[in-house]
Amino acid sequence: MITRNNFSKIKNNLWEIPRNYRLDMQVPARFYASAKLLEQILKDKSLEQLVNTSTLPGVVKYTIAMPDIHEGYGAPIGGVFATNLKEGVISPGAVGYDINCGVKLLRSQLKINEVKDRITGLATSIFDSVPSGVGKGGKFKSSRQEMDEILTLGLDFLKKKGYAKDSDLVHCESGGKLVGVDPKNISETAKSRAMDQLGTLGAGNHFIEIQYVSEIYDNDIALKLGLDKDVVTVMIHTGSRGLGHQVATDYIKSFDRLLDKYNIILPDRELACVPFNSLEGQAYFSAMKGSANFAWANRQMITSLIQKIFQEYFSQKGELVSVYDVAHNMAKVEKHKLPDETEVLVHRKGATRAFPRHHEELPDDFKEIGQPVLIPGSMGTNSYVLIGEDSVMEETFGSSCHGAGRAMSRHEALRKVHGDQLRQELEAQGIVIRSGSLKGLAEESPIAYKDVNEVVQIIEEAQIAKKVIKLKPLAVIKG
Amino acid sequence: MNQGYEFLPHTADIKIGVWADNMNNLFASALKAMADILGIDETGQKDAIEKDLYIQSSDIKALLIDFLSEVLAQSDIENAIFDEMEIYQLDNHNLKAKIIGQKTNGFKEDIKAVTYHQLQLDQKTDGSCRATILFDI
Repeated sequence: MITRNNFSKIKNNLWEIPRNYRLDMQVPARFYASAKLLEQILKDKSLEQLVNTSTLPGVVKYTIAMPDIHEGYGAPIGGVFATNLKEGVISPGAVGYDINCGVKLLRSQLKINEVKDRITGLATSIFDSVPSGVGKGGKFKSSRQEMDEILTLGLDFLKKKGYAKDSDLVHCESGGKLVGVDPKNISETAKSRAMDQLGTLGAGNHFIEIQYVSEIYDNDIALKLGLDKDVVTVMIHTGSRGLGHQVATDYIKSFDRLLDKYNIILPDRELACVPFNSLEGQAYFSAMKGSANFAWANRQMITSLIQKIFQEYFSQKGELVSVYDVAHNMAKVEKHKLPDETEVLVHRKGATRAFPRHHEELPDDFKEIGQPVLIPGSMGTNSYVLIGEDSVMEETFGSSCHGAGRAMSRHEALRKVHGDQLRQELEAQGIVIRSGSLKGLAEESPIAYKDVNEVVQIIEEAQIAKKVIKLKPLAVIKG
Repeated sequence: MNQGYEFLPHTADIKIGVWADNMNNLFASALKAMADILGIDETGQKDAIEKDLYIQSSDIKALLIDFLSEVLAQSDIENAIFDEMEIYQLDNHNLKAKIIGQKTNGFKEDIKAVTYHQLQLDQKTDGSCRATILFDI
């Protein structure tokens, strides 16, 4: 078990477990935490899991954990590391089972006072229109041909079908399409699971929130993003559903059998990996990109369902514009300044890409401000929009936190919280709740999470990303 | 017959302990535990469904996880919860079985995956065994 004696302070809120902590470590392991968060982090195995990622072949510089880190399987949630492209590995377990789980933020032209009286009806309409919960299919049933197109084209496919506008593509990480997908690398089982899942929310911590801008920290950037005070927004948090889960399961199983072939010794089976440059590594990368494309298409399909409702309620003023869409479970080839290489494979699991201004991958209108980083808080609390800072590339491979991060087990939350009571408490605060399951509601209780305000504060003080606005919820819709 | 399962504490996901007097019953118990998590309808009024499975894995531990993963995928595709099984063959690398369950309108929990993480499977000389399995939720 890692204790305080095993790491040293690099600077305020940044700690390092040195390479000599364990013989199998290739690089040091760094993590961001305040004294309070440190106490929570030391309670589970997340730091051991971080150290485990420091042992992977080809890992460079140091591994990183964000302040919202918690124990996952294989790699911790909130973990970031990069491997070199020559001998380095790709690990599906360090991307996560929900490939391209992520967040999309939409803004309306409405202010809170125009929406307040109709919020209950609006939340009910969205809950009725967007399938949520587990095992609930969507209205869009893909044919085999269409499924292959979604996997290879992502948002381009939805644009072709009339469910996405150009601005939705521009304001989406990677334009909503990662190229180089061969659908043959995705199993029939995975495709079968996804056939009726486009435009479905799922369950667990996935949600839709109607929110409003409650505080502005950087006026210029907020205005450039169209996020003026009191503007009503919609946040969507979901991923690639059964498709991504099956792709991860398939490749973790197959890589588990290839460890001997590639002479890879692992401290944890869930980190099963192969060289990025191997045929098998490229097959997973292709399947992962296909799943990522599906996830972007899924969030966009949900957007189009919500868009319809907003326009029914508010006609033209209900038009929803994409602010941005970011992934927080992904592996990507990116350029970074390192002594021996220019390009590395960055694994982010429960961590968000946070590129600074002038980065070549950003769309023109973000070139001068940097990339928006969307940080959902726990249910009923508040969310943030941050923007990547100049030093983020050097500090964290251009990565930020992804949310509050769990601090309590679902079981413990269920023991401590009653779903109906929680709903009453949130509704007393003026937040409308539409949830398919009271148990699910209790499991996602804010007391089960770390304090998102503190997580974001650490990110800002570390100059990873700075606060632009705070969003407060008006309604929460979940499975 | 000494077999069953229990829920164990875990921060974000669901961890279960499963035990039985032999390996066949351990697989059956693990299946029951997963059906419990997914939320089987006890009234038994839904249509019954059966599926044949053949799974090959590198060892018995992987076989247990791969078996549950396959059942989970079938649950998602068929909208069904499987809680019973008939085992035709089970050794360290192969499982041939029929899984039996019922159709459902939805699941209580969204299991993303059955993981290899913190996986334990021990068998004593008298054949009795115990496993710990972590489900990613």
